[in-house]
Amino acid sequence: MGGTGRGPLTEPMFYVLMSFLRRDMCGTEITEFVERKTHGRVKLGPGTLYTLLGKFQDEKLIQETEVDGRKRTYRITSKGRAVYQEEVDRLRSCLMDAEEEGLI
Amino acid sequence: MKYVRKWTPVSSYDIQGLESWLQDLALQGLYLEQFRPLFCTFYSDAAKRTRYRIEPHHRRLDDDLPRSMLELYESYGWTCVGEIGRELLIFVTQEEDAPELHTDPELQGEQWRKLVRRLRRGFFLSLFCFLLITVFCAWSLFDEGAPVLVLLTSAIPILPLYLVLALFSLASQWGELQAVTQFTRQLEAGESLPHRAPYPKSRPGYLVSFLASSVLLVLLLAAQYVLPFAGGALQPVAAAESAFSPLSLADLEGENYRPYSISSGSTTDYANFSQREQYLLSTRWEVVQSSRWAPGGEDWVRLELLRYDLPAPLSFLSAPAARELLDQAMKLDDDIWWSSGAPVTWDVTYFPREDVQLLAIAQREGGTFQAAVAAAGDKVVLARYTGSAHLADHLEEIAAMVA
Repeated sequence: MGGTGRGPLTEPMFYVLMSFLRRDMCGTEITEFVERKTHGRVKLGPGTLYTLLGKFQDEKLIQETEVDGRKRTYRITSKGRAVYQEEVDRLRSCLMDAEEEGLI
Repeated sequence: MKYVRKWTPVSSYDIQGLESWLQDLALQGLYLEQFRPLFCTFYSDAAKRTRYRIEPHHRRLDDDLPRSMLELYESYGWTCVGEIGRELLIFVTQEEDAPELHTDPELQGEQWRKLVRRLRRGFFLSLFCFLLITVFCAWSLFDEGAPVLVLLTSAIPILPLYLVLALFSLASQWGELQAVTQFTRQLEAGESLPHRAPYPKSRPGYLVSFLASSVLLVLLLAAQYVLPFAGGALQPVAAAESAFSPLSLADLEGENYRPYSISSGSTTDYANFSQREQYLLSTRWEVVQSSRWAPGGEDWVRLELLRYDLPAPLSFLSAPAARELLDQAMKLDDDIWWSSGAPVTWDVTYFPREDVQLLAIAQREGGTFQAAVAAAGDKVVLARYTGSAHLADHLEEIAAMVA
């Protein structure tokens, strides 16, 4: 998983982290955000989302902020933002490498 | 609501097979109420296309079901309807537009990989237990240096059958581990799981193995702890005469015979009794007779007889059993903590006769202890005596006890 020693983030991981940048989110809001952002290219099933949220919590990239009935809301941590930024930088340099080769 | 029970035709870890079976039953209007590895309970309702999905989720003994997971899944239309062995959860949906649970096979593979590790640990633990039981069987058999007697008077003969069943169970566990490992690799390689697979119509092997294990366990406990008492309580010496003619202490002692009894107010004479004990492979009569050593004295002379009846096919074990009985009788001093510890010598004399396979008498040097054994056909007898007469003078009576 992204960050030093983690390896690159997968697409679902990247977009789930991205979903938290502007505000706290709950499960269904994350799914809607990712689908909207990627125009349906990246879909998140509940199993995938649950696994990702669990992993991100274990890695302290996000934290649970509110439990309202069945609705659980999460917030990105500073560590989460750093991992996200690192992935953006990695993708940017990939893009620049491709541009240098004149392939874009 | 009407409930229906059905034998579970697929292994709990044949994930795609299990999902397919449940989905096919839903098309017949049967919906899972409770999952069990042997049989499942279903309730009937109108048939409808239904999707079942099985998810790995390990739950320790004191853990509750994962609420956050169930609630998240429910918000997407998936309901948890069962659990398999605290390792798997069964989800169901009838909503056509409910999204598939997983959209990232590699991430899904990570979850299954954890289960593979636990299954592997479970397999090696079972293998270790199997080896431990095998070693325990061998140790139980040879620890006392009397394997034939242990075989004849314990539940050990059932254990090899148990080990054979355990081997089958190990093979099945290995098969399940291989199946889960294979599709976990598929997921890790980025391939999504198909939720449709052929499955067997029935699983008679599992049912037979389950029933056989249960029967063997009951047999094992009954043979070890219940059967020996099936022969009844202590009885007068004369009761043994229904089975054989016990050597009489009165005959041995002759004019020195002075009846001695310990009754402690009850009708049972603890110094003169017989008792029948039943074992899986033999019937044993124990006959004890006592006499005073001297007139008015407190010390007493004792004659103890052990007579074994073996099943006819095991007649070949009678002579080895007699030898082991004699060896054990000569280890008398080993169990006496106040003995000097000095080496004790026994003189053993064999008396070849046509009517018995083995007849031998052992006399402890410098003491009155004597032991005699005889074996003929499917019968074995041991006589232990502490008086002043000589067992060698009573060979006919001893041989007659195995006639």
